[in-house]
Amino acid sequence: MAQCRARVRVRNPANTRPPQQLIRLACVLLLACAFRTTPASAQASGAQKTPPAKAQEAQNTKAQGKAESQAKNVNPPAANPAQPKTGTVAYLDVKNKKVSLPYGEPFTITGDSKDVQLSGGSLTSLLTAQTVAGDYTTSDGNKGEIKPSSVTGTTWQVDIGKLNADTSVTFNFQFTGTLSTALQETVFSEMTTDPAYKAATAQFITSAQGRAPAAQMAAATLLAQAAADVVTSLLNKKGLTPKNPADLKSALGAVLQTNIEPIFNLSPKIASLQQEAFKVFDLVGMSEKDFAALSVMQLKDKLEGVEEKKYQELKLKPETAGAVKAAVKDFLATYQDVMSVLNGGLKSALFTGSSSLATGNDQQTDAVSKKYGAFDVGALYSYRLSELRSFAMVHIYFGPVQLKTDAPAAKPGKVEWLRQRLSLAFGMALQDFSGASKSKISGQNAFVYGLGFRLNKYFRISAGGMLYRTSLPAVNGTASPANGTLRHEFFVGPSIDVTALPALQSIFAKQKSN
Amino acid sequence: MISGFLNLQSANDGKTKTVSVFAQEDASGGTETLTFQIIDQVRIAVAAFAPNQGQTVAVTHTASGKGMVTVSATGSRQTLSLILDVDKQPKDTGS
Repeated sequence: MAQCRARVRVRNPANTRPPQQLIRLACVLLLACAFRTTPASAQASGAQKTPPAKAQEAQNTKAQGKAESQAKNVNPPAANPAQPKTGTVAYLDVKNKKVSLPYGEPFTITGDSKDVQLSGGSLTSLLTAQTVAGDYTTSDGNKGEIKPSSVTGTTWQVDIGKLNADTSVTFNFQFTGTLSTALQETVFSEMTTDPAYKAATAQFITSAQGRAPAAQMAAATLLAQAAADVVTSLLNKKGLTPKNPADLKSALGAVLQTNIEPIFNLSPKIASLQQEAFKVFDLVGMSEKDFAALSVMQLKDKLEGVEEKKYQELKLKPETAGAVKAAVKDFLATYQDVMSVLNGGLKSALFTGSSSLATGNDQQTDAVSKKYGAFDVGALYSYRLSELRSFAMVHIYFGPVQLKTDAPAAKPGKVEWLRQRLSLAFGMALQDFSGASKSKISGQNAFVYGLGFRLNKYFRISAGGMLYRTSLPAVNGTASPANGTLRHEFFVGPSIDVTALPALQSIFAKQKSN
Repeated sequence: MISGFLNLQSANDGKTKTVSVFAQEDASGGTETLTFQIIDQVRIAVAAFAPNQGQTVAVTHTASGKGMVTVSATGSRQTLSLILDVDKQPKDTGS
């Protein structure tokens, strides 16, 4: 805006006429008014806010005070389910920063578990999510609770309370559910090959060998603790974070100790099956080396598919073939026991008691912002003048609007939809750049006014009138009587909202994001 | 020489507790000495094996509770250790 004034002053220092001065003065006043409507400038100068801004602030203050009286440091309150929602935001849009969050009204975030990505993979591959809950924190220091909500299939929705404008908000979604079967098997398989678990197992054998049962169980406690450490670490790597790791480790250790028998026994049983003497690798059609490299899960899968006749085809004596068959059956049974332990035991450790709330945590941040005005630059076309001119305009909205046009509106309805896009426009048409040799506009500058319509966050179409003083050529040495008079022309043209650009949002729409 | 063990398990019929294992002999054959460490008790079993023969070898014991049971054979690197509840009735497959 300041640039606009400077350009006017520099370009026509000698041709300034009283009407042009008035036009420019009006333009400058309008620009100044537009600046005063922005929250940032109002805060910086201490100027009085516009009525809509004051009303909004009063509403926010009232909501904040009410919530503070209900719970310390918990504001705004979670949305009342009975209260009509004015906006629904897609989780994916929040995640992809494709939407500005609505302010001043409760709203809903809807999502699909398949879209939630944790460090260990998609949420659906780790958990069968049953509930979603969490909390959110805004940049102005308020906190809110996301009340637990059931996950139906893979779809979910949560209610969010009122957010103040011009803030950013960070959501912590916590998905709770049962560990997927695939995850349990993966965790156990990784545990058995983990160096820490192997070392603990070796230590256990050394410590327990030949000792009394009580001493052996004490040694098993250490093994269970080591196993719990490994499992906790593996879960953490996959983005499943226990709310209380110490409690989880304790509970997990107890679970594993109680069920140490099948967990411990699985590894030596595998080692037995891998002995060359029993030729189990022939059962599954693999080399001895490849067979020894199978993971626990792979071994289970291979042996489950062995047909009865394969045992008879082994180059072993009948009693040995029978023992191998019994050993394979025993291994598969032990594997199932282990999975039952992990399924029931881990689940009880993870999702009940003091160690509960081991969940998949997902954090997303988005902005809640609004704006009152905008400053555009663009090109306008005047049909009657046959000119294409650059212009600079101030757009004043009919109340605060969302930064992005596709953000959920604060109020429903077509009127609100239109209000979010429509603006009063005032500005200056500057230089012709269509190559017109003799412009009819005296001094090149003209006052423009009209309406703007936002197409999206950045682009706008404006249309209206252009008021200019004529500069007509003399005919046969005689000046036209219309020369020097004020005229109107219709114009239309596209423009870009430079205040929507990130560097300028701090002036027209205060925003903190990421 | 023993070339492998399978199916280490304990049994308790209420009167007698036994631990058994299937032991596989290699091509050499001969008499083998198997050592059972049953929690805090040691039991020795001697058995004759034909070349490449496998057979189940069992010992009785009086140990009780849940603990580590290990079987090994003299002259062989093979060993098998499992945690077993040797008191479990009527039959414990060792999980």
